[in-house]
Amino acid sequence: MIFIIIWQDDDLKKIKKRDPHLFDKVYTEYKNKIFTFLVIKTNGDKDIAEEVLCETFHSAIISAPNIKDLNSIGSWLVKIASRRLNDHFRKKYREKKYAEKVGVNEVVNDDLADELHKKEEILLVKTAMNGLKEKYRKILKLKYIEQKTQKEIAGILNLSDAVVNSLLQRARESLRNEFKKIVKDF
Amino acid sequence: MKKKDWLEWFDKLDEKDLTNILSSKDDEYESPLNVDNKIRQIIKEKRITLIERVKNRLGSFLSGNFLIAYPLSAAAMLIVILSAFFLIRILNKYQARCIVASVTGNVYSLDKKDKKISIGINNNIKENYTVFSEKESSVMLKINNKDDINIGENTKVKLTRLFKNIKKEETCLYLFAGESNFKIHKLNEKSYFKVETDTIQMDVIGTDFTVFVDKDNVSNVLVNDGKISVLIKFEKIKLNEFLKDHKNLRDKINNLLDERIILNTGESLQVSFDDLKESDLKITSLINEIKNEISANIFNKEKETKKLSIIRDIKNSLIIKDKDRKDNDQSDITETASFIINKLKIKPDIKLTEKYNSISSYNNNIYISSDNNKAIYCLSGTNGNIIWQLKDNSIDKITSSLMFINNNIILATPSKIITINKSGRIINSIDIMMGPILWADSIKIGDSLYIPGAKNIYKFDGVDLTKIDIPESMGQLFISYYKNNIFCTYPQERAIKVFDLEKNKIIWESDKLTERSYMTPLVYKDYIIIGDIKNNIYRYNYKSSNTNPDIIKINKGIISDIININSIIYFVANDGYFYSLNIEAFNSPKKILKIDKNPVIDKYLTKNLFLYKDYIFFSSDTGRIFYYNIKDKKADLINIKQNKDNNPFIGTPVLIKDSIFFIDIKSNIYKLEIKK
Repeated sequence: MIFIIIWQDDDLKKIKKRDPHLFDKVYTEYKNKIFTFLVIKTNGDKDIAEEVLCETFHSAIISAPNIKDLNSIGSWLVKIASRRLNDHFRKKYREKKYAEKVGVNEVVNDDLADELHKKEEILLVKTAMNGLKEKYRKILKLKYIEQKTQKEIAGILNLSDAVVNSLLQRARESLRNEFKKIVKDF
Repeated sequence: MKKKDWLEWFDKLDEKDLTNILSSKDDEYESPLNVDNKIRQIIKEKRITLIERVKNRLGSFLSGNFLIAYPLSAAAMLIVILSAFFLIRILNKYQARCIVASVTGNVYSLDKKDKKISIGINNNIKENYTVFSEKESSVMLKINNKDDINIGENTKVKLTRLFKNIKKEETCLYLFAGESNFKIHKLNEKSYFKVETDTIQMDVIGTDFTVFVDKDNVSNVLVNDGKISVLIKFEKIKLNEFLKDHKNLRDKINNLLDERIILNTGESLQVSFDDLKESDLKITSLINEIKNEISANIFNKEKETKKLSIIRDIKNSLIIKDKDRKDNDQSDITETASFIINKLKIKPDIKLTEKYNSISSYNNNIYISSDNNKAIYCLSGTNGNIIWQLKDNSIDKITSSLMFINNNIILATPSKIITINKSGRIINSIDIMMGPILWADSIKIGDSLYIPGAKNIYKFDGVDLTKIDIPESMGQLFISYYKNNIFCTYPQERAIKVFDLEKNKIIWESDKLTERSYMTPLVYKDYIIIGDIKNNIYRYNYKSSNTNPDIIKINKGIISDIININSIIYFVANDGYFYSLNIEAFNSPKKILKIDKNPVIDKYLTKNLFLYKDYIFFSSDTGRIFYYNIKDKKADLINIKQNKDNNPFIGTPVLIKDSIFFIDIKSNIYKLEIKK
């Protein structure tokens, strides 16, 4: 399921000013995504995920004036979560309490690792997709979620085959760029 | 996974994987209720304190515990870090820098102690360093991260001033020899950018100009875009001696000589050392006259005005004379009874061939799309200098001439329609299938281009691309336009079809031609005239129901496009001869003159006859320029004395203002003007 918040014109200004109502909306929309991401990254440790989820949204509120594009808010939150998680591990490592117990290299059983990896892949690609421009998201949705043929897409969007082909290529390239932005700090 | 693994993983995803991932159901963990409440409380209270903001900026370095345990140390450290941060920023921002952005061949710098050092990318060129390049070498310098200086081969430049602070930037260069191109951004009032040679000094007002000092020490300056002000370096010492007791007069003359010349886009100026000496002599003798008249007490206000006007004339005559002389220098002119042909001074040094290189012109510039170089070149129509060149991985095959729309350049390749801006940057690229493959010319109707491909015709308005609803062809289409109809040659199908743009359908279709034709159909009144590659010329009446043509046979097939002037058509056949034929009479064509030694059809994809005023021109492979005068029916090949090796000309000539430009395979550019 692709989740999209419909933004109003002045929402960016409001978010930058940390409007509680809008932040609540963002939190409601993204909390499970970010929590899932954190659970995956901690190899299933929900306690750490909970703690870092709080820190993530706390940081998001502090950094709100830096938001540039509301469409990429999902990618932005994933990046914050990733950084806060790294901070968390470093902090614990310094305290030498969790050094052996937690961390990205912790050994978990293969089945769980596979499942987490798969979840992470899906989550990241979908988050990247949410950061795309509306026209690219729309055409990728038609192609990969609704699984329409190129000809059907051309009919729906009232475009020629060549334009659809070109749009699809650009949308995939854009998806790759958005994905690259998200995984940059990993 | 590391970053690289993630991207590799993503790149390996095929269509099926993407479908699986994007259509998979969200299998998420529910965030716990206690966390929900906590976070909602944070959001509600907007709990942002100054410390938290700072903490956020500095990331994990200052943990919460650290701050609480050691608040004073943290504050002190914070001040130190912030001060250092701002200090470094200020130092970086307000320090002048000249960095080597790219180097080709052997380029060296001489430091203050004349120590010779080889230059590499990212080297820092300091004030008073001299940069010099050897043959076939060049270097690009970037000043203050914004201004570009392209130094050509065999050039010597000294960076005499390099300064920048909060309020102003000061840059001066001295060009001893060779050629440099400068692209300078606008400066504030307190800043300046100067380029000096032995004879002139230039101040930048605008952005893009080229300076060239030749082996005879003649300084040439050409403005590609914007404005520059030029000061000619007159001798003033003697003047000051002569008129030491007449300060007012001396100042007036000095001001006159200091008056700057403003050069605008496309304008150029040349000043030699000899010219300066000659002018100085004239001015000195005039000053002597003034001195004598003052001694004899006959120098008055009226005479002063006259003498000053003579000095102004001397100065102006120098400029005008230099402009005139520029043409003479560019070449020993080739002059016939009807034409003047000059060779442009700067040779772009591009290797070209007669095949697969096409020339176009737009806004006083000449454009070459070259498949053998896989590049697009923009050359100045004033002096032949390369303004920019574009080579890009996305341009892997060039198979069409350039078109121009909305001040942008459009290149159609077999797989893409690429939009290039006037600075030579790709701003858009649309993937297509079966684009042009045989250099068929696009046509412009209204604000849209109609681009004939190898299967369809594409309509492109600069943003949107659509296909015209014509029957698909099995190969390259060739098209022309007349009265709301597009006339299409289908070479493989050996047919002509007429597409009505209003009715959006084919309204007429010819019978099969005897042989294939690779030319655009010529339309005259109700006739369509076309020739095939063997030996037939066809005349169809597309307004009648009869689809059979009148056919006449000539000894050879037509390989050029056809030009029609007052019902007489002109073309080149594959025997290399230039022919004429009356359309109405449609009897045997008249053989006029052999104009091409090696008339192969590939060359004629980019080479055609060119009509201007009463003349038809052709870029002949004999190294001569062919012309045909429509009025007196005189045809000839002009010997170009500057083209000593008889290098073949490429492409179809192009027109800029009232001049016609021809280019040979060694990229020498010849400008032909018709005498009035």
